[in-house]
Amino acid sequence: MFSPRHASATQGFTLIEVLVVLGMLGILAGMLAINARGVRETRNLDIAVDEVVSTLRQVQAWGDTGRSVPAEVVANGDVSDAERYDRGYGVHFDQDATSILVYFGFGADRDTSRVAKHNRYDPDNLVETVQLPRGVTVSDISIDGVAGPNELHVLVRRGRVRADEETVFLGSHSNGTSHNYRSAAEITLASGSLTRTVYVNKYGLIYAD
Amino acid sequence: MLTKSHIFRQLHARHDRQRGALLVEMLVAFGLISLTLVVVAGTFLSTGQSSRVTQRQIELTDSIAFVLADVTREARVGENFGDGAGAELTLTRIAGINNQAADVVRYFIGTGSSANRLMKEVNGVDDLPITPPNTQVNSFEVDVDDTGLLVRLYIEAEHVDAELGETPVRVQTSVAAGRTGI
Repeated sequence: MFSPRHASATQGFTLIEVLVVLGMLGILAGMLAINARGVRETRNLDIAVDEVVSTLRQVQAWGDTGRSVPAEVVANGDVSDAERYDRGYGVHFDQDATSILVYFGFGADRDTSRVAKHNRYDPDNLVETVQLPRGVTVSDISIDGVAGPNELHVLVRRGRVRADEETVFLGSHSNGTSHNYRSAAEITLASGSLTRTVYVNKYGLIYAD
Repeated sequence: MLTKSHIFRQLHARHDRQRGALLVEMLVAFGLISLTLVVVAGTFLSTGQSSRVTQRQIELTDSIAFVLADVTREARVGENFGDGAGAELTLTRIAGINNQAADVVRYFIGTGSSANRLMKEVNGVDDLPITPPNTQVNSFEVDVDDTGLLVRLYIEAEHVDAELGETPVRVQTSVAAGRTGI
């Protein structure tokens, strides 16, 4: 369209034209790349939130219905055959972690000397590691509306743990203080500068904001 | 080659007879493109709109399903139903592996920061919501019959983002005590 009338029909684009077009393409590509990064962060965060919610629902179903501890644990002799249904399943969250851990544990009324180990996540009790999507981390944990714990154990157990509880929340601060048997917890996930929060309480309500 | 005379030739070319035709062509082309964009964008917008409505309905149905499952489970292992002034449900748990006998469970609509959310409490403490904040419970009506063994529940809830004309979910159900005819 810029070909002058008296120029030959085979004349190509001038250097300036090519540079201008390349420049515009570059700007467009740059905008697209920036946009795509935001889209990817948002999508990964949404996937992570879905993973956390469905993992919590999974342990809720396992804990509520009395799913047996893994057969190899019974085979090891760690749990007697009669005790294999007397336990729960939980999810362990660590601040700054890129994965969450599903574990099995026992209620506090089973054996008080083993409370600490059996309510909380322990490497021996690991069932499954749920990897969060790339770039997503557990950024904040709060228990009963108070932020600060650097880890959280959510245990769902068939039968009561305390008189009115179906779900046990246990958390620890890095300074050593512990939260035991609380009512509700919030887990905030971060992807880049974006965050979303998952809420769970002991009556079984689970939702993401 | 990019010489001075070359650039001047190009500038002069702008006064060609072709330019007028080109302007009209471009205007027509822009017009056509924007028309197409409007049509395409319109389609996407209405698709997004209807998928948001569907999403809200799913969230609302999930919330109500969770409430009904919880109330039903408690009622099946409960007795001594009470309806307060008609806006709450109380029951006493029967002993069981999941229950401490004589625990009193109460369902009611929250107030203050929990307004329009259905709450549950056990033995008068630990009141916590059992509906998410995206669900606005407008009505929770309870009616216990004379035998104290049958509860009629009416729940009406809508999504907080519901637009004008979006229908709320209305559920009416009866739950019978696990232990009957004593």
